[in-house]
Amino acid sequence: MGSSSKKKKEKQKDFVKPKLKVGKTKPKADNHTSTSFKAKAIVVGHQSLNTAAPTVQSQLKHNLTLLNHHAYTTRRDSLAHIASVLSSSSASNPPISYSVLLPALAPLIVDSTAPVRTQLLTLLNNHTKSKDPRQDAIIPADAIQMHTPRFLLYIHSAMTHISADIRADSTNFLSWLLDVVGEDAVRGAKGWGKTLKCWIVLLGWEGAKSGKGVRGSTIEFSDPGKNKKASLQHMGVLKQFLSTGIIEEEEQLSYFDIKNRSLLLPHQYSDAFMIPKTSNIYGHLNLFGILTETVNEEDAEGSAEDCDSRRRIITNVFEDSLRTGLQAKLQEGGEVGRAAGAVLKVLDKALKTENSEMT
Amino acid sequence: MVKRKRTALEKQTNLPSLQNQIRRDPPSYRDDFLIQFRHYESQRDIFLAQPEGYDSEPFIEQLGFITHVADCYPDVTKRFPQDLADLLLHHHNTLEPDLREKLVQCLVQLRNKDVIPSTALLQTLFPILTTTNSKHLRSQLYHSIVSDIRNANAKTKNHRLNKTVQGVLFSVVEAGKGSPDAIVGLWAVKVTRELWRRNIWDDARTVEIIKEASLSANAKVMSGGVRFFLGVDKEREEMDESSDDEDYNESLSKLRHQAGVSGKTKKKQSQMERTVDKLKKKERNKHKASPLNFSALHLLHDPQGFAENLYSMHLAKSNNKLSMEQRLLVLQLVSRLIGLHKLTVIGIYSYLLKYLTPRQREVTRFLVAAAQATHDQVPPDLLEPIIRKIADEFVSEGVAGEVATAGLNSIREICARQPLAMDESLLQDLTTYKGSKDKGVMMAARSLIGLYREVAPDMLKRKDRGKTATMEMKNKEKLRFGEEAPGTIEGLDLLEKWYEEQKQKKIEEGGEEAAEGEEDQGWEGWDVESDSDDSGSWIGVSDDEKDIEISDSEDEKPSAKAKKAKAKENSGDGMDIDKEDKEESAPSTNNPDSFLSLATTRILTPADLATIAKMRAAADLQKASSKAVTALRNEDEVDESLIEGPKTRGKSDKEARLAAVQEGREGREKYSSKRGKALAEKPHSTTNKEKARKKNFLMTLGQAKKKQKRSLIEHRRILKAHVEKQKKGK
Repeated sequence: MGSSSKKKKEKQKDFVKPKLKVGKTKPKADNHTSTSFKAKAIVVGHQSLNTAAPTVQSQLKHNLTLLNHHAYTTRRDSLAHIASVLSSSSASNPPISYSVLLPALAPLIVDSTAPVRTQLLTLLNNHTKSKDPRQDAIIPADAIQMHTPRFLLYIHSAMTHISADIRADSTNFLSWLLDVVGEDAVRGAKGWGKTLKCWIVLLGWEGAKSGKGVRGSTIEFSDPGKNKKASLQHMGVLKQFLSTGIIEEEEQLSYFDIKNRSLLLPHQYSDAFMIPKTSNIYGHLNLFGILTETVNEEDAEGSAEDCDSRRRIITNVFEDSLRTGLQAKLQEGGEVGRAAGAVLKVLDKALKTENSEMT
Repeated sequence: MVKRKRTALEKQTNLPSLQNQIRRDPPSYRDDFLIQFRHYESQRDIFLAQPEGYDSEPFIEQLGFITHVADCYPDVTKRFPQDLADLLLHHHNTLEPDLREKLVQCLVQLRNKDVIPSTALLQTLFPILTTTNSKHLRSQLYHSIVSDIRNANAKTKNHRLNKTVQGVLFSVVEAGKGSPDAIVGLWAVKVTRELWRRNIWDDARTVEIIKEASLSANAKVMSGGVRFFLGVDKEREEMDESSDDEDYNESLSKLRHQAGVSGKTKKKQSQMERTVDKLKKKERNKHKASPLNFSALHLLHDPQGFAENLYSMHLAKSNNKLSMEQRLLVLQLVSRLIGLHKLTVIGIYSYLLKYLTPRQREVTRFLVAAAQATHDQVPPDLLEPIIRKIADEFVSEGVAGEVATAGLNSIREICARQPLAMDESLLQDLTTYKGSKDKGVMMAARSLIGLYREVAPDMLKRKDRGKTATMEMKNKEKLRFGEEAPGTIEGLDLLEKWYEEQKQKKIEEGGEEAAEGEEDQGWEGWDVESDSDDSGSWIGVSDDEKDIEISDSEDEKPSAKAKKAKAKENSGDGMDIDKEDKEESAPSTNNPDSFLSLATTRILTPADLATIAKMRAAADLQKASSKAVTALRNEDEVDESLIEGPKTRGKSDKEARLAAVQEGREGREKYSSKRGKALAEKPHSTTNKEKARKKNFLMTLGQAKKKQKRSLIEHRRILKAHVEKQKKGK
């Protein structure tokens, strides 16, 4: 036999599988190389030696970037930080430009977690409305007004969000916006027609128009306790929304105004040919927009710059759905029913004034 | 459908589940969908307010959802496709890549759901394809465009769609035709080429697009178009051939194996059945007649105008910015067109003359072009300078062998197409190279001689003519320009010969009647009865003879009665035919008219045609082995290797030679004894040889000494015994 079989055995040795045993460390591979090393000292390349704390501005900037953080606690905390910085400053000397701050805050309206949304709402409520009428709010209404379209976009998004909680909270933000900027929130196609559309789907009243009857939105059935609260709140905000939109504030004209007018304007319809009082009356033509929105659903997204046109849109498009939905709520009774009744009254009042004007 | 109150129980939390529910019961979930649709709208508005730096992930999800259920609510989503198209059209450069990709996907999906027509999809995608800067988007768009057209043409050709798309492509190409910077047409060419390659578009309109592209001022578009004409038909054939039947076979055998090994499941069984079905279908299709595929060059309208335009636009202008390669491509196409359609573009011959020098880069391609641009309608005056120049520049004592080979070969190719271009003294000069030491030159000169032996032996020197050519010279008429040879059926002479042999055999075996019956058998199963006669004389058809019937049904065979009558008739003059045939068969090799008689006297049966094909194949084999010059046709492409001649291996250094050797060894098993290999495979005891090798030296000494001391007798005995042993072993 001799060397041949011996060599065979030697060769075979390479292919024998090592046996593993429970509780023993795994044997190191043949080609294992140890990479550990010893050093006398470890020197860190860059180390901040700055003893002074970062400035308020830089901290604020940092916190603004944290608003996109994936952890909701971080988002909430950075909101809290921003709120604290704002409350310690005054309106005349803002710590940060509003055109940076407000666009960063708006997307949090559709934030997925409730604590962040609540924090945002408190921040907005506390710092945009002044408790003391003699003092200006920290964030002035003018600044909010400039960013109204952006806030509206996110409010629309929230009102139609798939998550019921976000939808429930959405009207709070709308209410806040109506409080702060008033009529500016309902002006224009985005402010009026679009918001009304969102209202209709939010409340589940779309079926009324096509004669399929009203069906409550999915929120109603899913969580009765919360739902009643949300529903009540929705009714309240709807009332606020409608009254801001279609009930005209009586202008207190002084005697002089009237006299001047009659002197200056020889004809009763001269108003129609004057320079319009509202801005951007041709906004509905979308002359500078890129996406050409054709005016659909009769006139839903038409010009809604003044009370009359808003009323017209309501009567043309939304009145049936609104009335049917509200009636249904009314019949449900209770607190919600009462709130719905109030909304109906607003609707009746507004539309009656129009009718009376027409006749 | 009855509305079910099922939604009440569930809470919608995520889009996929809502999508699933909507798909099952659209009317019930209308409100939920409406919310989501409004949400999409608000998302879109947010995006439009701030296109850059927009977090698109939720929007992408929303888009996917709406797209999936768009067909359930056509009244709500009426404007949805248009919205997507607008987004893509206006923002495709600023959109985030993911969102852009999703938008294209959504549009394609809407198309697949038949929400939008193909034309709308293509009208959206094509403008973006030509304008976008993103490579990724371009490839995505290109693939979706091609696959959409493919799908639309999958079952039957969608002519309306094809027509509109072709119209769009044509207008795209035409719009960019004048300006040298318009690259738009390139995509039109690319799409067209792909669809042509896949056999989806194969009509004249497609060719028209490419024709327009070839005449474009932009060099890239132009070369794209020209390459299409030069290469696409080959591509298409390759595509057809490389269909995946091997894959099927492989997968089938694999499946069969698996069926044997692993358990039988329903899934596996159905898989197997499907594969077998596919295979069968494939087999059936193979036997089906393939649809006619005309090459792109044949489908051209007005090839003369096209060739002239190509020449005047891209070649004749001296201030052209085209590169050499592009100019060569155009030249190749023009010469191909001239050869194929027998056109007359006079300028090209003088243009070629400029480039025919051995120092010219890519000169073989110019030589190829010169050969391709020749056909029998080209006046010899035009070709004579070319041949003279080639002969002067390429074929002389001072030049290298390869150059002379190329020159002689190209002269041969030109003369094969137009023999009149050569004059006698030049030919006789050139033929002297037949004695050259260079193999390529010698072969080229010989092939030239071979060619002229066939066409005009009187131009050759007497000793070059050869026996058969000298004998045929009497019958040969002198070549004249513009003469058209009468058309023949190739291989008919072979058939005639074959008949002759068959008849002889039959006669030897069993009389003439059997031989006569043979001819009718060719028509078996074919509905037209042969009513011609071998003798070539007219047959009077009387009223009472009813043997001429043309039946429509296939299985109806000619009536027995009619056959008999015919057999009788034929047997009467059977002897004469035989004699005639014998007489004819002798000169049939010389006289070209003789075999035509067969074509004029009888209708060839399918069996005859099959025989012709067989005989021709056999004859070609013989010819190829005897290295005869095959007849060249002006329609064929001239291969560059024909001009270059046989390649001689140059002397290279040792490393290169070794590399060549190693290359040959690649993938080859090492040479060694079979026994050794067998032994190496299994563990074994030491062999006798090993033992002998390792034997102690001292132990072998005695044997060695004894061997030296052997007497001659002893030695002889041992040798004899060895021989004996060897014999027995065998």
